[in-house]
Amino acid sequence: MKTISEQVIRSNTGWMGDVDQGQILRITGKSVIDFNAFKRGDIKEFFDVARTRIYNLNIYPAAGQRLFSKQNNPMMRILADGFAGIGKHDLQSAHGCAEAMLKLLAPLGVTEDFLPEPMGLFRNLDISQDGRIRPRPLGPPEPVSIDLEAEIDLVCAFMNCPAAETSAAGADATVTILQP
Amino acid sequence: MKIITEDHVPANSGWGREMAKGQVLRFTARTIIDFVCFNQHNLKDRLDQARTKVYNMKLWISTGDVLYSKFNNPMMTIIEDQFAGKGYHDLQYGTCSGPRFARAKEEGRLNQYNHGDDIPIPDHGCWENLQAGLKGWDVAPEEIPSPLNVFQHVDIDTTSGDIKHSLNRPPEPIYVDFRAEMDLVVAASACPDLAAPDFGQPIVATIYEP
Repeated sequence: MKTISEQVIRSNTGWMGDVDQGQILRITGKSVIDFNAFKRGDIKEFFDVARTRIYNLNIYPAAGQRLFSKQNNPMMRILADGFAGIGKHDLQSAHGCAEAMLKLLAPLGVTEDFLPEPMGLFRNLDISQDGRIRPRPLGPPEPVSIDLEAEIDLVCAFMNCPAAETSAAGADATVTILQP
Repeated sequence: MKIITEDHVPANSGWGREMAKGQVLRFTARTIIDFVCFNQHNLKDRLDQARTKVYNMKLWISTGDVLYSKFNNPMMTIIEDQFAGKGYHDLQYGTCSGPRFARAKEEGRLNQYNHGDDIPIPDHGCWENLQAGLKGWDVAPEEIPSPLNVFQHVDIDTTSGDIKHSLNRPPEPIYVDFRAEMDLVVAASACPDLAAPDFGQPIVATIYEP
């Protein structure tokens, strides 16, 4: 596997970049990271949390699942997930730092009314069987990675949130693009 | 109560209306209704599944709970829920659609709908029905939010996260009442409901002054 690029993303900052079909986006971190993806050249086709939950018939993102767009097309495949067995990523919440995400996405033309809901990496929620939701701060002791393979050409973005709902608030994240 | 409008919506079709703050929307059905709403004075401010769940701090909402908008405004309050104690309304699903049915068939996953591998699939679903219901208003298809799925009981194992299409539907038509907390555009789809024992059914949408 060849590393195309690697960058450290400080807390309360974000990253946006191209990921080509077949490339792997690796996000390594331990605090909450809000992630969005768009079809390159057409932001109207965006990663959609509801379509993703129902295609996979599961409310928690995990290795082997695919991320789907609002138009019901596959966008990415979760190849590996270092958070498995530690906690759960989130597909229920809105953005934890929407203003900063909007600044990041402004060049794409994404406005507040259009900002799709994110995949909240490392945002561990306790959801009880009666449906009650409770944030449970749970950062992995060491940074862990999630690997996402692009199934089409994408623009991806994430915010490394200074989220209060994580025990690892303030930690750096790393973004790596790999070519298998 | 004074009835303002009462509409009978055929199975697998869409519906839309305007309603004023303080009025009540009643859905009466024994089938899934994909329901969305918009601030009448700013259509970009629309129902938001995520904010609704996080404000109420639960996956399932019922009497007393509030639907929230993308701009964090209270839109509607559930004031009566005859499904309570029998099943839940869903805030996980997007909308069914022609492309979604086609993909399920292509991938050999039609059996997820409880009727075997070879059922006839409609060429449209709630995604297209909501677009039809919203024809009179300036809402692009990709701006139609993921809905509140009324009477769509879903079995969720919150430990594993597994979602199962459920056969739990109201045996007879029952209703849910939503009070508008702002002037709204409301739209709904009578879902083709491939997972139900006898598929989708017509619905009744009533708007009344309490």
